[in-house]
Amino acid sequence: MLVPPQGLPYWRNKLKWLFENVGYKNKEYDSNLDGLIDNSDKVDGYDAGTGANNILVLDSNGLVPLGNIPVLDWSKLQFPGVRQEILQYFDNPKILIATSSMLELLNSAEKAGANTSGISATSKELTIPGGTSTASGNTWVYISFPYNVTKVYYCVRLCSVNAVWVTTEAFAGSDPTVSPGSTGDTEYHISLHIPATAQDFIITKVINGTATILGYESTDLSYNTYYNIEVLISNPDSIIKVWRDGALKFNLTPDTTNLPSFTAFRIRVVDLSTTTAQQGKVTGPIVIIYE
Amino acid sequence: MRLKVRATGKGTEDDPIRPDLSTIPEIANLHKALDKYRKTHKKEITDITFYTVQVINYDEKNEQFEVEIKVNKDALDKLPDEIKSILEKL
Repeated sequence: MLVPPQGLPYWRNKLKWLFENVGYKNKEYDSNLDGLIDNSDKVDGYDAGTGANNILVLDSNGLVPLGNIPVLDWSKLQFPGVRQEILQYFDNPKILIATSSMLELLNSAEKAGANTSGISATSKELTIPGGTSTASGNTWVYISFPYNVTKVYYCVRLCSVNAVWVTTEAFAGSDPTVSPGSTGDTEYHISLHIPATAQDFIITKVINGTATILGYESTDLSYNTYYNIEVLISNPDSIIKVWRDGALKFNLTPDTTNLPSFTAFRIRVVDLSTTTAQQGKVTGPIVIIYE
Repeated sequence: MRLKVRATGKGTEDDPIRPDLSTIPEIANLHKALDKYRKTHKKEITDITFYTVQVINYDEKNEQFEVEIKVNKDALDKLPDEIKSILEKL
């Protein structure tokens, strides 16, 4: 009888050969002979812990340790109805309104101007007359921010039925009911001005009623057509961006001296006719974010 | 292109303070051509951006604007020759 030679190397190799070639299912193996079976304290070869390549261990409260939670990157998030790139300008954005129901918009907004009783809404459209069929005038709806804000983003779809101006406004005065052109009327307005000849999309700065154009798009737009308007104003980032129908039209520097913060968002219709009721319309989605 | 132009307007909503581009021959010619073309081919030039104007600076004391005019070169191929040729000079 062949007596196998004694010694650990022989038996180790023998066992290894049996495991690998005879089909032994028992994989427990102490490769370094330290008395501990290989991988007995690991899961699939990974140690428990909170470091790199560890199987995560919860803290004493049963929670994921804060250091193991990734920091949220707003620019990587999607927010329904919002241009993704603008989120990078917000640290803690809040929603003033986000809806596609114009009934909800009208219910959330206040009214001011010449013909507030003429404002009406369906779930699809909000209609604002500027004046009446016999008188010119301005009429608007507005939603106040809960406090003065330095960053605003809004998107809205705007249409001039037959009005001279239909404007969206980041209002910076203290009283959003103040009449256009008077002291306290301070804002940026981004407007459809359809009667103009190839100057139909305009951004204007108004300080105490004095209007100064900041830019315009030389284009001919149409009545009874909805245009998607998006505006980002961030005073801390020193940026104003305006898109129409998805294309960036203006990229400006804000006047943080005269318009340091904003108090309300307004949609206003201007009627210059004394023989026709001029109207503007709004449809969704409308989203207003602030900080 | 960037250039300095004088300001016009009284500051009302109907007559805002604005850069007076009518003194730039190419702009004046473009709008004349557009007015003429619009009478017969309005649809063909609706919702086309010809150029954009942005105010870089407004010198209130000297009533002068510094503006940046950007021609929309993507629109050139959509335009009739008489307008395209003017826009290309801007």
